[in-house]
Formats: sequence, structure tokens, C-alpha cells
Amino acid sequence: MIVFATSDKGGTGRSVTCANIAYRRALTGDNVAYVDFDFGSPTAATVFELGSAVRAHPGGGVHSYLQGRTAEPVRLDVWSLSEREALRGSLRGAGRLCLVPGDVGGGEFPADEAVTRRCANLFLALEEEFAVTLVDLSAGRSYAIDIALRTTARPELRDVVTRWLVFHRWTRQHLEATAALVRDERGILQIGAHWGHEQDALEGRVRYVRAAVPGIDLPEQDTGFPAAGHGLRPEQKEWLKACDAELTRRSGKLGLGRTVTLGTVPLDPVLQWREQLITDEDVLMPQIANRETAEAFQDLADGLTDESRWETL
Amino acid sequence: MIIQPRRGLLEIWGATVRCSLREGGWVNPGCDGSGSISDAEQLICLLYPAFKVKGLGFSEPDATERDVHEALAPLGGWETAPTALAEIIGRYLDTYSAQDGRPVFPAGGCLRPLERGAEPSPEQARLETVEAFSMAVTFSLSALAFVKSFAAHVRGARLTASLRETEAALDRRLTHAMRGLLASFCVDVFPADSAKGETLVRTLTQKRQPPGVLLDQLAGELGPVRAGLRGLPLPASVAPRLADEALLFQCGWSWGPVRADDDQPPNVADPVPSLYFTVTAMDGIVDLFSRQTLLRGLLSPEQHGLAHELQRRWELAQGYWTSLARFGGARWPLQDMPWRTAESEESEYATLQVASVVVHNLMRRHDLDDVAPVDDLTPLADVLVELAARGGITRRPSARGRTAELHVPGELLALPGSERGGPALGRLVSDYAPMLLKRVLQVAGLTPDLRQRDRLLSVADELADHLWGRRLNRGPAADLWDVPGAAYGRPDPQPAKPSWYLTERVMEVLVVAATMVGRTPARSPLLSETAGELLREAEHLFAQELMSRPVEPGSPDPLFVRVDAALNRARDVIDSRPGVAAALAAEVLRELDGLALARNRASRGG
Repeated sequence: MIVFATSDKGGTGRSVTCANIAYRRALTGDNVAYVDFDFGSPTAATVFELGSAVRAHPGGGVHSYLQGRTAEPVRLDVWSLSEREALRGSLRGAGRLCLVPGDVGGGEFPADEAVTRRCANLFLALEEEFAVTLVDLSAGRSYAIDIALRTTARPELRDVVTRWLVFHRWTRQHLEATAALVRDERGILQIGAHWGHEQDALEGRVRYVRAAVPGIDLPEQDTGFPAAGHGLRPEQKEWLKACDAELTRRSGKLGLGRTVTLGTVPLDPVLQWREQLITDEDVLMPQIANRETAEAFQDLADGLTDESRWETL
Repeated sequence: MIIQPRRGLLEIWGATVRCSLREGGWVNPGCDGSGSISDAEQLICLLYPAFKVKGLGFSEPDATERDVHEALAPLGGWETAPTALAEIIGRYLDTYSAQDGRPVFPAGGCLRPLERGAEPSPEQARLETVEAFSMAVTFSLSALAFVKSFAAHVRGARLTASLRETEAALDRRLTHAMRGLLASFCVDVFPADSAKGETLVRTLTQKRQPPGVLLDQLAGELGPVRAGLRGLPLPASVAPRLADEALLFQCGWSWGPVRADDDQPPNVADPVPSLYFTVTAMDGIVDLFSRQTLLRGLLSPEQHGLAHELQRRWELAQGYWTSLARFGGARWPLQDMPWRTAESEESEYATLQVASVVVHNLMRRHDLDDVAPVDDLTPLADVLVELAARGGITRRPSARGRTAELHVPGELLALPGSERGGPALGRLVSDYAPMLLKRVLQVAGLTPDLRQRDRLLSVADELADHLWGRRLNRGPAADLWDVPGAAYGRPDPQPAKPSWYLTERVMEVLVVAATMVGRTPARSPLLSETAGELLREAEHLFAQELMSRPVEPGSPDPLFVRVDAALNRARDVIDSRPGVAAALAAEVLRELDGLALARNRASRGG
């Protein structure tokens, strides 16, 4: 299964959420690859803390590969190469977790036939080896989206299950921009249709992820951490609730309602300060991250293959 | 007890779903067993609040509110719960359709022989009653609203097809139920010196009027109704007699489709109106022309025609009974309790049912004219308050009287004509408390007299206490009804099975209460005036305060910002919420007085 992740705007926590989904998924025993297609800003390595391993392979990333400068992109094994101690060492029962990084200092480049052919070869190779391949595309309308849609429309990828996660924050502007990214002219569905995807089927493969959602009524005792809504004045809570209700209505109208939402990631103090993987230790000992955050990542990781959540009503 | 409709309705939902799901399947665990009425009542408990109350819908998964979702959770998730419910509706429709797809309305276990030990014949088990039709109208409308709205959010071909089928079946059921109601309306003509005529005259006589004068006056009052009835297609045996002004008449709904002159076998009911079934029919018919029905365009052109016909009869029946109830002017015959009818011995139920018709009449006039005149409501409010007392709710139940029997076992109403297919049957009526509470709330919502309203609402609170004391408190059906003995401290063994008959009626009460809460609060002229005066003084003192201090550059004192904002808000809301405006003005006055007091101290050097 190949899962593409995108968003209209930056700052949705797309990359860090994807990395955490990959991490959680690998912990459950699946082999997982994480491919950095954020061509303009290839920074996935920092989330996995693989900075020095990437620097050791200059010109070995997906930029060089797709443009034909190298025969194969590097794959970095997170369990053995990460600079974060908690991630190193074999974890019992865990599957492999590999990063296919971008080139350090790489930039955007347009798609052509040769690029998509190489891309298809990469996806097929990863599909054979990994249960889940997460491809992190860049924010907004980009060459990366174009390459992904063009590649997956090719006949050799017809039998590969593909899915799309579109990340957005829980605000009016984000909702509207996200609906436009998917549905408007030159949106994902239309570009997909242009390259030969069937539009309804493609839409059925899209799910949304609400990211950095401030909690209103999380009870404090459950989190061990003051919840986002804790310490608010009654008027502030009332305002938040009214906003939340308004956004719920708006999202339904824009076609981003809960029936097409795969999950919600709460706002977490740790992720506000640093993009990183949230391990179970972070939740338990010392309790720096909220349990809800880890649960949300786990739920998303499970949701990728839960067919009932990908059915169209 | 203050009625909290949202909470009450969600509790009913939670309990209904909890006790109706057995090993994944939907069953009817009710004490009356399964039947077209009882099964519909069970489903209406879920569908009707969603139909009538904003914010309780569950047909749009993207807009369902969290508490609604949690109450229905045993049925499934945001999307699977409505899917499951649509399937349950579909199965109900299959069960109550004949081989050829024609909807059927067997009253089933609701009818029981008047004589102990007798067994209804199989033919009688298939009898269709006004209650079944009326319930089917309410059920079909609320289910149609749900299915249509849900279908708009469904993309999958298979589910869409099955929803469309359900919609068509609901549509058929609604049409048949409306036809059934039409067939059950009847006009009964009788001479003034018959037993019926004498009962009627006795009921209406107030101040020892000579009967001749009374009959003349009655003929005058009922003239428009008589003329209206003569415009209806009536059986050949009735029409000419109705034209004879010397004869008395009554109109309304019999217990089922009435026997016509050509004597069709399935229509067996005697063409005599019954108060209970008239009120039952009216309660269903109003749903046909409710705002929700019209806004969602639930009726087909054919059904619009039927609804129009029903509405004519509804208008005539409520006009007739309202004229009787208020006959004569100053003191209403209705206040001279209990109401006497020819069909049964005198009972508080008859008074309540006539009062119910009057409430229908008032609500209709209120819809047309905005506010009903105050003097109309006082006698009616008196009657309702007295009924609460006689029902042993606001007054201690009399030990010897029949007070408790009103609620349990209730009153067995004979169904004249049912004996044609077996033993004579009756219908056990026991909805005294919820019916009374519903009418009390409706009248409280209509009256512009705030003191009258408070009086009615305090009776409503006691009625609610009584009803909530009758809930089952253990087993899977806990939170549903009915343990009537509990309200009278009787050590009844608790039935483990819920009564959908009563639960459905309590649900209707909560829906009426929810509609009332949704309205703007009743306006008090006194409070508006007080608020205006307070606001005037506050504004004046604020102007003086601003005048007294030098104009300084920079941002103004936070106190003045606050005062200014409070005064602005008070001016904005003074018409709609005078109490709030008064509170804001009072706060401003207190703040300004703090400054004045401080200055005062300084000038005294203290």
C-alpha cells in the first residue's frame, strides 16, 4: 500500500504526523518505508534524527534518483542509524522502518515521462518489500502531487492500493483551502482525472486528517498534563465551543466532514516545540507528551488498513 | 422537577436502544408484545425527536452532535447507526405489509375483549384502528424525513437503492394511513329526546335554562359546523337527517373505519365519534401540516389532497367540540366536571379529551392570529389544574375513589361494532398523566398572562415529578416507563418490560417542552419598564462622570471602557432580554457609585 500525504498549507504538522504514523505502524510489526517527496524542503531526516546519516550520502536521495543521476536512492534504517537513543536497537516484534530521504539542499523539479517511469519503478520496488510506503508530498499544489498522480495512473501500478491523506488544521481558512486543493479546478481530483484516474474512485481514496486541534473538554486527570482547554475562562471555553460547532458545520458542507476524516491529532506541547517521534516513553516516563497524541497516531496507523474506514457510505 | 427536554430525550434514546438490541438484532421487548402500533411507537421514540427538535438529528453523519451519537452508540458509529436504523425501518415496513405490498395496520395486542376470558377471533386481530393510522402518520413522516435526509449523504449504489425502496414503502404507508383516517371520520345524528340528546343537553345546561332556548342557541352556535359537514360526502342515511335542524348531531373519529351503508366487511366500527379516538386522530393529523412536514416537502401531490380533506374534518371536529366545551359564555360547561358522554359513564378522561380538542383549537387560532385572547385561556387553565388535582397528582389521591385507577389499569373503552367479528372488544386507555402534561405545557406556551403561565408550569413540574417517579429503575429497560404504582407508593412488583404506549407519550411531552424552550421568553412589561428606568439613570450618571473629568490623551481608563461596553450591550438587548439589560445597568450603577463614594470620602477628608 502506498499512502500519499499532502496539505494545502504548511504548518499542519503533516511531516511529523506522517513520521509518527510510520513509526507506530512499524512498531506493530509491519515493514514501513517513509519517502520524502517534499522536494522544496526535504527535512524528514530531522524527525527521525538521521541527519548525519543523510549527510553521509550526498546526491543519493530521491532528487538525484528521479532525475536520473543515481541508479537507486539510499535507504536509511531508522532503528540502527537514528541519533536518538530511544529509537536505536532492535525492538522486539517491530518491523523495519526505512527512510528514503531527499537530497540535502535539493529543490523542486517538474515531472516528465522519464521521471514518472523512475518513480513507478521506485514505488514498485518499495511495494514489494514494505507493507506500507508513506510518501510525504509537499504543501500546496506542487510538482510532487503531479508526479504522484501521474505515476499512480500508469498501468504497471494499477494493482497497487494507493491512499491519500490530506492534512489540515482546524480553522476556517485551512478548511476552505483544503477543499479547494482537492476539489477546485487544478485540484487533486482534476489533475488525477487528467492523468487517467477515475475521479469518483480517486475521491474515495482520499481521507482527511485534522491536525493540531486544540482540545476543549479533555479532562485533566486523564492526560496527566494540563489539557489545552484547562485554565480557560468560561467565556473562552464558550467561544471555543461555538467556533468548534461552526467549523464542524462548515467542514460537513465543504465535504471534509467526519465521514471522510481518518483521524484527529490533538495539539501537543511537545510537537509545538519540536518535530519529533513521540515514543511510549515520552508519554509515560517522563510524561512530556500527552497520551491522546500517541493514541491519535496509533489510531491513524491502524486506520490506514481498516477497510471500514475507507468505505464510501 | 424542572423538565430538561434534551437530557430527557437522550435518556429515552439510550434506554430504547439498549433494551431493543438483542444479540445484534432489533426486537420489541415491550409489555404489549409486538404489533403495528407498539413497534411503531418504539421507533417513533427515536425518530420523532430528531424530526421535531433542532440539534437532535442523526441523518447527517457530518453534523450529528456528540451526545446524540453517544446515546445511539449501541446501533453503531456516526455512519453505521443511521444505516442500521434505516434497515430497522425497512424491516418494520416489510413486516406490516401484505403479500401484495399493501400496508396493513393490525392493532394486535392493543385490543382486548371486554369480558374476561374471551378470546379475540383471528379476524379481530387484524382490525385496523384510528390509533394505528394516527401512529402510522407520525411514524411515516418522521421516518421519511430521516430517510430522505440520510439518502442525500449516501453515495454507495446499494445503500441508495435500499433507501429509495424504504422511502417508497413509507410513502405508501402514509397514503394508506391517511385514507384510513378519512374512512374513520363520522357524523352521528340523533333526536334531542333520545338518550344521547338528553345527555348532551344535560351537559350543556348551566343556569336552569328552559331546554327550548338552549336548543335554539345550540343550533345557532353549531350552524357553521353543520353547514361545513353538509359539504362533505356523507352516507345516504346521514345526509338528509343532518339537514333537519331539529335533530342534534356530533362529529369526530370513530375507533376505526366506519361501516358504510353498503356494509363492506373490513369496516365494522359503528359510525359514532369517540372522544379518545378523535383526539388521537387530531394529534396525528397536525403532523401533516406541521412546519417540518411542509419545509421538507414530505407529501406527494396525492397526499396533499388527502391532507386537505383531513384538515377540513379536523377543523370541523375541533370547531364542534370547542363550541360545546365553551357553550353559553361566562362559565364553560367544560368546567362543570366531569364531562358526560353518551358512550361511557362520566370520567375525568372525557374532560381531558374535550380539553385537548380545545387546546388544538387554540393552537390553530394562535397560528392564525398570533396571540389568543387572554380570557379564552383562564377557564381552560382552571380545568387542567383541576384535572391534575383529580388525577391524584397535585392533591392526595382519595383512598376509596378511582383516582389511582385512572393511571392503572386505566379506562377500558368499548369499541362498538367490534362484536361483529367475535367478542366485543375494548381499548385500555391509560395516558392520563402524559396527556395532561402535554396539554398543560401547550396552554402555558400559548398564554400571554405570565401569572397564569407560572401557575401552569408549577403544575407541569408536579406532573413531571409524578411521571418520572413512574420510570422503571432496573433491568435493561431502566429509564423507560411504566410503573404506575410507584407514584402511589404501592409495592407493585416492577415489570421488567417497558410500555411503548406510555414512553412514546412522555417523549411527545418532552418534544413539546423542547419547542417551548426554543421560543423567546415571555415578555414582562413591568420588567421592561424597570430596565428602561435603570438604564436611563446609568447613562445619565455615566455622562456626568465623563463631563466631570478632564479629557486626557492616551487610552481611556479600563473602567470606562467596561461601563461603555455594558451600556451598549444593555441598549441592544433591552427589548428582547429586559432582565439582562437591568442587570447590566445595575452593575454600571454600582461601579459609578464606587467612584462617587470615593470622591465623597476625599472631600470629607475621612
